[in-house]
Amino acid sequence: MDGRREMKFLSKIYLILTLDCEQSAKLTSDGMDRQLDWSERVASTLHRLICGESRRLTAQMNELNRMLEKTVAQDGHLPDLPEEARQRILRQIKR
Amino acid sequence: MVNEAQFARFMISSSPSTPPKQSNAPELCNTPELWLEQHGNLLYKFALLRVRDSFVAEDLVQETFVKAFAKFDSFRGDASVRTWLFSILRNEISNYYRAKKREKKNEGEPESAIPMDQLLCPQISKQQFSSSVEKEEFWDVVQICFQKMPEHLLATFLCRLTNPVEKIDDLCNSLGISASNFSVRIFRARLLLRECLERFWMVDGK
Repeated sequence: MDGRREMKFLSKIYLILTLDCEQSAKLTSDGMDRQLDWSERVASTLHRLICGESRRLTAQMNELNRMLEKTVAQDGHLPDLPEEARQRILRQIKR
Repeated sequence: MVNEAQFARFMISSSPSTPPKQSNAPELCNTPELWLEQHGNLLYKFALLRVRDSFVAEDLVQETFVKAFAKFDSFRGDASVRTWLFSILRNEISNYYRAKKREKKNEGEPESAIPMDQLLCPQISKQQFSSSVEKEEFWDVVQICFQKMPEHLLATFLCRLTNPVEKIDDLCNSLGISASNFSVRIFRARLLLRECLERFWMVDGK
């Protein structure tokens, strides 16, 4: 039982030591959808410390995500369902 | 087509999925108007993002609602009604694209062929990117890039974008994919979108 826990810990250390650019970008993406665990946070931070490209990529991905969410959240940007279509749908459903 | 009892049951079960934004809506929504009120706009916006044509989007939403009523018996209630409606709409959209593809030979999916190295290496600086993102035409460029993205990636990406509060597990269920598949798809979609925007702005001269 204990061996499994150690293996898990070792795999986290392994992740920190071997993280590459693609994995780092994947973690950036995952971080937008869920809470990263400590080893993932340490791994991506350390990787970005030594890799300028990943630093830039992460910044741009975050920026893009922020803008997209802002745009979609602004209700006015996309029009609502037109009243005429709404009535038509209601007629169709009630038929 | 749908009898009264079916309709009433449908209405009652759709009440828990009331979006937080419209909490002033009555607890039990027992009219089609309210039901359309709750989910209509969101479904329409989603469809609009996908097809870019308001008439087609209206048709797709209409078809979704009609199908939802017709198939209400098959709704098992393990997802919210909105999630369920979204899955019907997505089906409608892919049917639409399939029909369109049959009409004219599509130009393929060149975006998926971009090598990973290129996707991981930004060519423009952070400042350039930030200033471009703030531009007026940002959304138009995003739309163009959406059109170039492979269907399955776009579906996953837009599903997440239009349902920011929904749990990831629920989104995966409605898309019928595993959580790891979801994260890989959305990861690729984000990389492709960023790369596409960057390419667009570089050609643009800025």
